[in-house]
Amino acid sequence: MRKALLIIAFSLLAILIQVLFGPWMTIREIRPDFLLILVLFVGRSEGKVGGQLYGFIFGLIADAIGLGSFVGLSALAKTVAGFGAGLLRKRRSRLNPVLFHGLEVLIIAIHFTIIYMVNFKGIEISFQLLFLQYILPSILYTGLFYFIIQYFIPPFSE
Amino acid sequence: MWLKVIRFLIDLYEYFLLILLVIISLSILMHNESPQIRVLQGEISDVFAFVHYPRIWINELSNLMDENQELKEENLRLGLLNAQLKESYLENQRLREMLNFADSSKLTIIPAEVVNQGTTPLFNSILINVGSEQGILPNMAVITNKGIVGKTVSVGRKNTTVQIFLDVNFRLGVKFQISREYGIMRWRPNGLAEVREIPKTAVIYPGEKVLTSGYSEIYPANIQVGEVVDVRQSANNLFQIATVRPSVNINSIEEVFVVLAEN
Repeated sequence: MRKALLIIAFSLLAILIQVLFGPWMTIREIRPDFLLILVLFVGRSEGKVGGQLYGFIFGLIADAIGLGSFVGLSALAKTVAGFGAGLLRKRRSRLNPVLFHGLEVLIIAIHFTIIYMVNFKGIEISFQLLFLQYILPSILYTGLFYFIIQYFIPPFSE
Repeated sequence: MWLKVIRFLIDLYEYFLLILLVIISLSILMHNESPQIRVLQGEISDVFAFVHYPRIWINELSNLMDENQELKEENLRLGLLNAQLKESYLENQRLREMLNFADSSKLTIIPAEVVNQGTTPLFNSILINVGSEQGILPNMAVITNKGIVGKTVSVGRKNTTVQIFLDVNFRLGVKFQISREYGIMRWRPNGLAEVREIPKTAVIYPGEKVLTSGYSEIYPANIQVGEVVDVRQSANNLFQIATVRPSVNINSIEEVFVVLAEN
């Protein structure tokens, strides 16, 4: 119960941070995705089921509060991210740190690849350009914040 | 046998749940244009509108002093301009009467504040603080004094989501002010826009203003859209492609106007 309330409080906080600071942190249309960071934290704490359910509901709310022309896209990407983060639950001490963090970056990469591939569907842009101009900067920007936040606030107890 | 199947399904329920959630997400994604989804989006954005208030308060406080100074200067400038325009208006009226012209159209607009510019990394919609209570409907043009911003897509009671011209699916019928050529403008990934299929014989000038064509049921005619940056030949050498810099800087807009009707 206490954990559920904590997650709800963090969810509201993440939305507020995204709304308040997201526009100011935008660099060439790229901004960090604090909602994804929270989904990764919850996934690592709650496992595959908790992570994907949370990613789905939180993504759907994010889509519905006015943010993006595709309702369901964040839900889709964050469900997959939540599931991926759930796979990493309790594996931090068992896996090589480089491999572990590499897998975290891979999950972030999959999330943004889904987001941008759907958004740019039907647009004449090569995957290389899409990757270099949007996906990679988004991975780096969000990943940077993910690792900084993780350093100061370890994910909810695994 | 059945027991084994059930046990197999239970063992893999996490993966089945993932497939189910992905299918639900995809299904919602594919029905994005349905009115039910848009209405639901409007209703939910009403419920969560409170999360945008702190940013509005901070923006309002930080901008108040600067805005006051700017408005004083603007007031003085407009006062001087107004006198000149009155003269021009009277002259224009006289000339119109002489030419038997019908009255030019005027727009009925409603002001709105931008309460959010999107929380996802992509930046293709904004949320404004007017909704169905103020008479807003889907597919109404949204403009600023500098030009076109986009169109309303999902309308809640007090909030409305606006699809902005930076959205990859945004299309706008435009015309070039000097050369009088028409075309469809679409957004390009570098933040600029493009008008394709311009006849090879047309002469488009860099710096030329681009206006709405007026052939749309959504956007009124002659609203500024941007200006031409450069013109190049298409790959098949049959057409010209004009690159357009939008006149509105989406990152800095705080107030917009929704066009309710064209009188």
